Amino acid sequence: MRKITLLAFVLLAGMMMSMEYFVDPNNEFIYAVLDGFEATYNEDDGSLSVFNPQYNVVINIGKISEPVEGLELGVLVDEIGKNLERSGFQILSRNDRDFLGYPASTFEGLTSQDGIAVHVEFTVIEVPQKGYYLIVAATPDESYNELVLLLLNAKQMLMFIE
Amino acid sequence: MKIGKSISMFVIFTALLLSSVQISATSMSQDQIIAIVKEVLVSTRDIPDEAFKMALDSLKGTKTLAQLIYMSVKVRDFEALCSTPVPTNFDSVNDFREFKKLVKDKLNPLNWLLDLVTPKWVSFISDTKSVFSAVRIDILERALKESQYESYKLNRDKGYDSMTAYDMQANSKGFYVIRSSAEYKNLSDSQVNEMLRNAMEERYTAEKYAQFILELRANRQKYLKSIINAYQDHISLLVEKAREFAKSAMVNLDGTWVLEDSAGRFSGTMTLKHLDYTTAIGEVQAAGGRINVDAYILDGKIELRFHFRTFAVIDYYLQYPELSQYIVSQGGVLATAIFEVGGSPDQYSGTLYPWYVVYNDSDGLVVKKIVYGSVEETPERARSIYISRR
Repeated sequence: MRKITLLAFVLLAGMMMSMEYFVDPNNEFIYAVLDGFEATYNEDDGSLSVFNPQYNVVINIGKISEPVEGLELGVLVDEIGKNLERSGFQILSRNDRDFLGYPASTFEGLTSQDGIAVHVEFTVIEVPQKGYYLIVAATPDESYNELVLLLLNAKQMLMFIE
Repeated sequence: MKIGKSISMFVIFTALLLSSVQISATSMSQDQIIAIVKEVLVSTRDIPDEAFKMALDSLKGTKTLAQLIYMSVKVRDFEALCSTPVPTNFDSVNDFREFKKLVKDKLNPLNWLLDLVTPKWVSFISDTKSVFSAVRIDILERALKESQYESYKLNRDKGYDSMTAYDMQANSKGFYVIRSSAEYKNLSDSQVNEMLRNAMEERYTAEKYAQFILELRANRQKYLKSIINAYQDHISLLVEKAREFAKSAMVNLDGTWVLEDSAGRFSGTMTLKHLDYTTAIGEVQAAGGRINVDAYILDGKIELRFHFRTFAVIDYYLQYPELSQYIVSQGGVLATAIFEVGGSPDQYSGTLYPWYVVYNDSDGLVVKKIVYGSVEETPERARSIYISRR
């Protein structure tokens, strides 16, 4: 037993990663901050921003609405889609698959900031009893194809407290 | 509804990052969680921290991890309360203020603590939380020194409330001190009495809080155990997983792999890099182009997910541009492969669950469904797949 434990320890020592967890002051969610990312909380709007300076990846997590009786996710997402297009956002795709086990929709699209094309994903999640959350993930368009799974996995670090 | 917020979100990202508050106050590290478990459960001290970290990574997204984090936040808040410096002299304005601020900041979020402490403290904490919110005035300290605080305290300890414990007639010196200040010289008797009574109650409360903190400190181990007791099942699961990780050889997917699909379609070279102990991301360079891939290490298994999202790679397989473009507009599609862990760490064989599309184009293209490849959705199309380290 002693030998096995020691062996495992030696093998493990090669990776050495350690996660920090952000706990929402409103006790609604937890976010596991991956190595290489920095998380900052904005008290004014209650949103969490996560940034990876090496890859220029930004993620923002915030609540857009409390649960509203009669409001359906599809209707809300349609509205957000229209608003995005009206504000000059080029929508490339819309995916209505569940995210983190919750009903969700994701828009993928392009915008530009300071002349740089930016690839942005908007994911709207409906969390029972808690309401609607929006995750915005953005990175320069030229590196999006390489970073798409880093974005996806960084988004998946979100856990809601039920 | 803050739909508008989403639109301007990207534009304000930079501002957000600059103006945001650092999260250290509300974050919890894996090291802190492990230290707590090891302190309370002596039998777990032989498990390497890295095995605990792997177990924690493998639990992400679960209720167990969320509960373990909340437990650790409670323990940390409890420790902060326990270590609050307690003044020896409550007559000192500065000591008193410092203490009041520390207690107010630390105790307010600790409602859960009421479940653990004895009833006398429960009623005390619930009844008197608001007392500290008052602004204390320097002159009251001087008035109180001369006052009959000791008799007030005696009466409060006997159970009289703050009103009946207060002797309105006996505070002539307090009156004298307060009235000697230009600011308060015109107060009515009842207003002066009210100030004195509040000040004495505040000091009484502060002394009680000090006692409470000293009691927590003296019984620290007992309280730690009570906090942790409610999370026994989650801790057991974590410890069990950590022991498994400590015993079995670690799966490390970092590096370059040769991927052989038995149907030949996705075969290629795969590179992976770990994000944490149980997640890796990378890509496969296949005949059709680059396929993004992520990998999850589960109990005794590795799950690889192939993300098909660009037109070029999807159309390579479909050879039907209109249909491929439609799939791109729906965010792409996914295939999954599951590998067994157990043999060589440099090669794994497994099962690939491919994706497919159901459509009708006899009268214009109508896509009926895009089916993601997964154990649940495409078991009938499963085929064998093999990866080996290059």
